[in-house]
Amino acid sequence: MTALDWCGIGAVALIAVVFYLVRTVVVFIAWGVTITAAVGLVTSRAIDSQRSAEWVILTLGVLACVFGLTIVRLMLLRSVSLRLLAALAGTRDDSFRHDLDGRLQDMRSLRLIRTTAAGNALTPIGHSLSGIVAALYLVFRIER
Amino acid sequence: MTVLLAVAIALLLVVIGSELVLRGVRLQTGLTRVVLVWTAGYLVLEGSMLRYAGIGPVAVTVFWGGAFLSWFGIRSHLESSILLCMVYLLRNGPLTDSRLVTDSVAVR
Repeated sequence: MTALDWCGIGAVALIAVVFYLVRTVVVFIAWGVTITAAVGLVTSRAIDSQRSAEWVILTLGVLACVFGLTIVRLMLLRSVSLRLLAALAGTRDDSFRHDLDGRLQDMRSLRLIRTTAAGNALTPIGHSLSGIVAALYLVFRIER
Repeated sequence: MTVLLAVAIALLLVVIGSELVLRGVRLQTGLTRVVLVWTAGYLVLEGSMLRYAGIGPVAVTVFWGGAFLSWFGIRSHLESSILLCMVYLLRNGPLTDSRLVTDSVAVR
């Protein structure tokens, strides 16, 4: 194994430890980007032109690990299904409705919807996102 | 550049292959088939990289693991996100809070 390999393994191990210890998404991203940048910079000096492709693949891989784990953390924090299971385990039956209401609040604060006389309506940004979501549902064959 | 292009094409093929084996079922239901596709893609890519580009298994493994994690996260989020589902339901016109919540739960 080369020094580049060891750096890659070390980076992934460090990111896994940070993922376990840090629960805040922004802090995890900051750590992840810092680790990736540090590994990228340190290893780039020791790489000749023949191994540059390997360096790019490894660095992109470490960055993808950070990105993927960020999504996993977000899902663990925000997933209504998981929170429902947790609520059921703790016999908090109002949690599900509360989480769904929270999504409506999120949509308002993100300016995706506005309140009208007829109810919630999409803003122009919401319409754009809705179009993208509809296209993605179609492409990924997700039935709604 | 050719190596990176080959990796990108391999990734694209595996993503398409994953959708084909899922055949419209939920990700959790078809996860075994998806993992098989990603494993096959990894073995082919790793073999090619080792043979034609001299790239060792660690770089490819780290990349492939990160790519799978990212794809799984995005795909799973797209499938289960209630917020995105609500945005989608509102495309046909305004809905009240209670109707939106009811419809979002009903389509899941």
